[in-house]
Amino acid sequence: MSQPDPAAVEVRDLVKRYRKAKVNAVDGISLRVEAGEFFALLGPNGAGKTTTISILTTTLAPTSGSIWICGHDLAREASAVRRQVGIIFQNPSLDMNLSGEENVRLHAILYGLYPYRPAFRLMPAAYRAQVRDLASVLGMESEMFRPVKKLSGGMQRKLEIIRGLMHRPKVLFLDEPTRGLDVASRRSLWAYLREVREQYSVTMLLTTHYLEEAEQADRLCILNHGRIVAMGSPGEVTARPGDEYLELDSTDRDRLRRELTGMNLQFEEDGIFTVRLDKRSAHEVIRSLEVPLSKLRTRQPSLEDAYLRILADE
Amino acid sequence: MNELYAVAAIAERDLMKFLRDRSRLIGTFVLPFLLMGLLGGTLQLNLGRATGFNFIGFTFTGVLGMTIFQSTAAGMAWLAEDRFNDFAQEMFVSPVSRYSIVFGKILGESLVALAQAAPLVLFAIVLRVSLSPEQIALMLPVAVISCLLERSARGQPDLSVPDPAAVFPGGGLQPDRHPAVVLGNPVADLPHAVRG
Repeated sequence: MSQPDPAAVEVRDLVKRYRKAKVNAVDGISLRVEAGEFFALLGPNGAGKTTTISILTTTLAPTSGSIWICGHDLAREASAVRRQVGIIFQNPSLDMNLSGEENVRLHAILYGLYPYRPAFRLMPAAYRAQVRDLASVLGMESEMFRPVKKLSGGMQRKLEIIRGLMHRPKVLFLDEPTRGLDVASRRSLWAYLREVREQYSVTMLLTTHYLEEAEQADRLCILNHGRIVAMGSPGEVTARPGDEYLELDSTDRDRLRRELTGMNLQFEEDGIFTVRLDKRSAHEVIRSLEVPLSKLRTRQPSLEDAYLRILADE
Repeated sequence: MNELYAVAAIAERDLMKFLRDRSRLIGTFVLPFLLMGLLGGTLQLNLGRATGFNFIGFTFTGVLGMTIFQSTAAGMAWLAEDRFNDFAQEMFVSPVSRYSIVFGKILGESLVALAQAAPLVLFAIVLRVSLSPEQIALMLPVAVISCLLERSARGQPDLSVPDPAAVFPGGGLQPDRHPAVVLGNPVADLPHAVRG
C-alpha cells in the first residue's frame, strides 16, 4: 500500500511568544496546505501572519509546536526545508548595488546549483542559458545586467520571484508580494504568478492585505490576535446563512434612516443605505418600511464583508 | 564544496558593494587625508619638533586601526541586526550553513577593510611613514579579529563617525597595551594593539 503524499505545509499547535511580550504573537495555530494548493493567510496588522511565515521559512524559531514542510520536520531538518521553499519577502530582498544577474548568481550559488565564479562569462554555460531564459521570460534582456536600483518596483518583484524559483522550490511563500506596487504592476505580477503556478505546479502560501488577491486562493485562513478565526474556501468563509445585505435608497433619506434605526438594523450610508439583514429576510424588512424607495436590491456578502464581520465578531 | 562557493560568493558581494558605493569610496580617500594629513601634519608641525615625536606615524597607526576595525565590525553588526530585513534574509533562508554565511561575511568585510586601508597606506608612504611589509601583512589578521569583536562594536553609538579615542587613545601618547586586552574596549584599544 503506498503512503499518501505528505502535505506541502503542516502546522500543529504553533505558538510564538517574543521575548518580554505578554501575549503570544502566534497562539496555537494548526493548518494543513496540500501540495499544489494556493493558500492565503489574511488578518489585520499584528495578527501573526508575518510571524507565522517567518517561522515556516526558518528565519524565526517557534516557541512550541510542530511543522513539516514537504514531509521534512522543520525543527530537525531545517536545511532540507530551505531547499524545498522559495520566499518572496515583504520588503524587497534584492541587493540594490548588484545587477539583476549578480543577484540571481548569488542565489544560485547559495542553493548549490552552480559553482562560484567571479563573473557571468566565467559561469557554466547551463547557468548563462538559464539566466538568458529568465531574462526573456521577464522581458528584461537588456536590464538584467543593470543595477537593480534602476529597475521599476514591479520589475524588481518579478526578478525576486524568478530568483526564488531558480532552485525549483515545491512551496513558494509570498509575504505581501504586491505591497507598494501600483495597480498596473500588481495586475501584471499576479498574471505572472498564475503562469508560474501552472508551469511549475508550485504550492503557494500568500499573506496579503488585499482581499481581491486572497479571493483567488483555493483556501484562505483569517488570523486575529495570533489565532485562526476562519478557514475554508473563499466561498465557505464568505457564505453564512442569513448574512445577506439589502441596498436601499429613497428620496426621503431622513425618514428611511429613522425607520431603519427604529427596526434596530445595522446599516451604512455611502451614497446608498447598505443594510445588514442579520438573519432577517429581505421580504420582512421591505414589508416593514413605509417610506417610498427609489432603489432596492439584495447583495450576497463579499469576502470583505465577511472579513470585517468575522473580525468584528471577535 | 558548495559551502566554500557560498563563502566566496558572499565575500565577493561585500567587496563589489563597497567598490560600487561612490560615497564610501570618496570617504575612503578623503578621511585619511583629513585625519592624517591635516590633523597629524598640524600636530607634527606644532609639537613634533619640540618633543621629537613622530605624530604623523602615530596618527597613521591610529587611523589605520580605526579604519580596519570600523569597516569590519560595522559589517558584522549589520549581519547580526538585519537578519530579518532586506537582503540579509535572502542568505538566512538559503540552505547554506550559518557558519558559511558568517565566514563569508568575515572574509568579505576583511577584504573591504583592506581595500579601505590601501589608500591610507599609499598616503603614509607618500608622507614617508616607515612601514615594513610585515606590518602591512598584519592588517589581514587584524581585520579578521575586528569582525569577531562585532558584539563590542554594537555597543558603540555610531560606527560611521571616527572615534577620537581610536585616533588618540587615552592613557598618554605612548603605546602601552598588549593585544590581549583589546577585548576590553576594542574601539579605543585596537589601535594600541596594532601599534604594539
